[in-house]
Amino acid sequence: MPVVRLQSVDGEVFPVDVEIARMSFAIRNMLDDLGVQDNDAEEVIPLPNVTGPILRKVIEWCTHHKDDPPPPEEDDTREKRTDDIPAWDQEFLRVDQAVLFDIILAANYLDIKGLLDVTCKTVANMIKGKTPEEIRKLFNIKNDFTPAEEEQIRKENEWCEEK
Amino acid sequence: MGFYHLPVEIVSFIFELLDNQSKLQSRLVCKEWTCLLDSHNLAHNVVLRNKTFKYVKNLKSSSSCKHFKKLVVRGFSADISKLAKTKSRSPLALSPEKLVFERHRSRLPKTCLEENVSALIRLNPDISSLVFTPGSLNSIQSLRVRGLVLGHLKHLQISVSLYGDSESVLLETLTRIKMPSLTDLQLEAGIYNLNNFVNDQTFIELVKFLIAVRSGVKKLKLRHVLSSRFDWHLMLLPLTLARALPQAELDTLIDELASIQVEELSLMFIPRDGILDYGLGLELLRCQTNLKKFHMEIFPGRDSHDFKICTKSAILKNTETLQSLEVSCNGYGDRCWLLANYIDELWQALNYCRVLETLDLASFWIRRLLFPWPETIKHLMLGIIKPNILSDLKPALPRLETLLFNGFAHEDPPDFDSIPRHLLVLLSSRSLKMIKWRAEDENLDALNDNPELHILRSYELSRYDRKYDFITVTKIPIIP
Repeated sequence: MPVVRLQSVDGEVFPVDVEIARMSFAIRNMLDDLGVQDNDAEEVIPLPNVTGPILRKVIEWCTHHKDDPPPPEEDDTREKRTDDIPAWDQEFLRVDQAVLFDIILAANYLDIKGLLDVTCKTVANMIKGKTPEEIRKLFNIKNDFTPAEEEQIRKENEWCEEK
Repeated sequence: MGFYHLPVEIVSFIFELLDNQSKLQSRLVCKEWTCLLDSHNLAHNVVLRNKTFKYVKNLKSSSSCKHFKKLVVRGFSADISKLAKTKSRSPLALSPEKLVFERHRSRLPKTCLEENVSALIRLNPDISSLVFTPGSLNSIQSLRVRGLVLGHLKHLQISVSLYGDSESVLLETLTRIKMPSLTDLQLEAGIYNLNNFVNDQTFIELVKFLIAVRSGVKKLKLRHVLSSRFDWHLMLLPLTLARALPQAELDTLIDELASIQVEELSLMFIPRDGILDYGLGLELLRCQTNLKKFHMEIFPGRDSHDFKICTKSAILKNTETLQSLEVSCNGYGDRCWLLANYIDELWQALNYCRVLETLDLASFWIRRLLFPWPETIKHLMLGIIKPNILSDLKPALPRLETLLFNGFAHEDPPDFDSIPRHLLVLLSSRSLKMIKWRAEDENLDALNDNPELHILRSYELSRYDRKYDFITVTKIPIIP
């Protein structure tokens, strides 16, 4: 199996099977642009936005999902489900919030749709069913409403209910 | 590393994954979230308000949004005259499928609003759906729509709440927009505060509007919109009879109405002064012979004789085509008994229907089964039922796929113990796929053990924030 070398921002180099690396559309484009040959094992691809520990996680996820079928066409009209995260992914994403957000950023930068989906679903599940105060506490967000503004939004919410 | 490090497009994507209730809760977290949720509400639905304007302006250039489903404009009074001039390159030319103007609560400068409504329609001429929700037309005198063609517009929904002449002018203006593809029309007359009555003249204007745009219309919905905040009794105002018109003019209107043939019709009937007086709505119903879907919403009155005869004969005129019938009864529950006999009579007509697949009687108590049923029914919705009706349905409806009902009758003595037994009888029907009902404390242990059944408990919020529990029993298809 041909291998590419991915280099994280902190200098760590990861040899990765080309097929796994190509799950990232960003890397796929880079490889195509560079015209990298299959046997060109010395080529190093620098990833200036991803740290070593996060890149290791991303590669671990891609390796586990390398044989997944391509995701089905999206149907925008349906409400999206978030209760369909595979058990392995749930376990894999049982990490600190900061790490989870770093993985999201890396998945976004590297353009790995499956990983972005599953991590964003995880965050959505963290928000679902919580009160505004619980959400603020969870993400350490400051409440910047005056009581009057908050009341106004509450009133607007009542209007939204009907839709 | 915190939530605020995530780029806007990712936060929007996460918000899109939320259900409505969580979205509303999230609006209360902080100002940033409110604006983001309002500008990226639902999957590519954009809400344009003065507060979200700065986000919406940048939406078109941001890579995460390529097409927009719905653009909702709510009390938007910012000056967009400069942005409106650049036409297709304008950041407000978002080409949504649906353009919705919503009621604005605060007092805003009128002229700006009118300009903005005209400008937003002009900037987005490819819309397939245009909606003016209740109250959104209140302060608009006239739109500047001369020469405008909305070539793709299929669905038009207009709610008026008239207390002056302004909306008549507006309706007249709207008839000047060319809408060659229009097939689906919803006209509503509403009452939004007690000083703000719909009068007969409003309805005449609506009927004239309907006549002006009628060609091509296949789906038609005429209804009252009632604000939930006031007592129903105060709301029993007429939509339907144009007493204000001289007889000759009324006759002309009725003649013109008779030329309207639609496939889907939804009508609401309201009694005037407690006496049913359905007028033009019934005239329209009388001439339909090609109905596929028919929905009646009834406010029961003291004397409903004409109405009963007319709806029954309407069903009899459409027995070859009618696929879906929904009769809903509005108003207090204790008024529904007034219509109990009506359902019996309706049944005689239903038996002649040859292709009826969907029957919705969810507003009614069903105490006994009236035989025979049209065997073609696949989807059935009932109100409160007695448990034994479940077993009786199996032989009566051999093609039944889904059954929804509003719960079990609390009769004396209550018959809750028999519920699982009756459910199992109906579930043994080959065609049946799903039963869903409003739950109480039914004991479903007997069903839980069955590996072929999937039981889901869920809740839904009603319009009045009351929480209702539901049970859905689905059959799991056996894979050979």
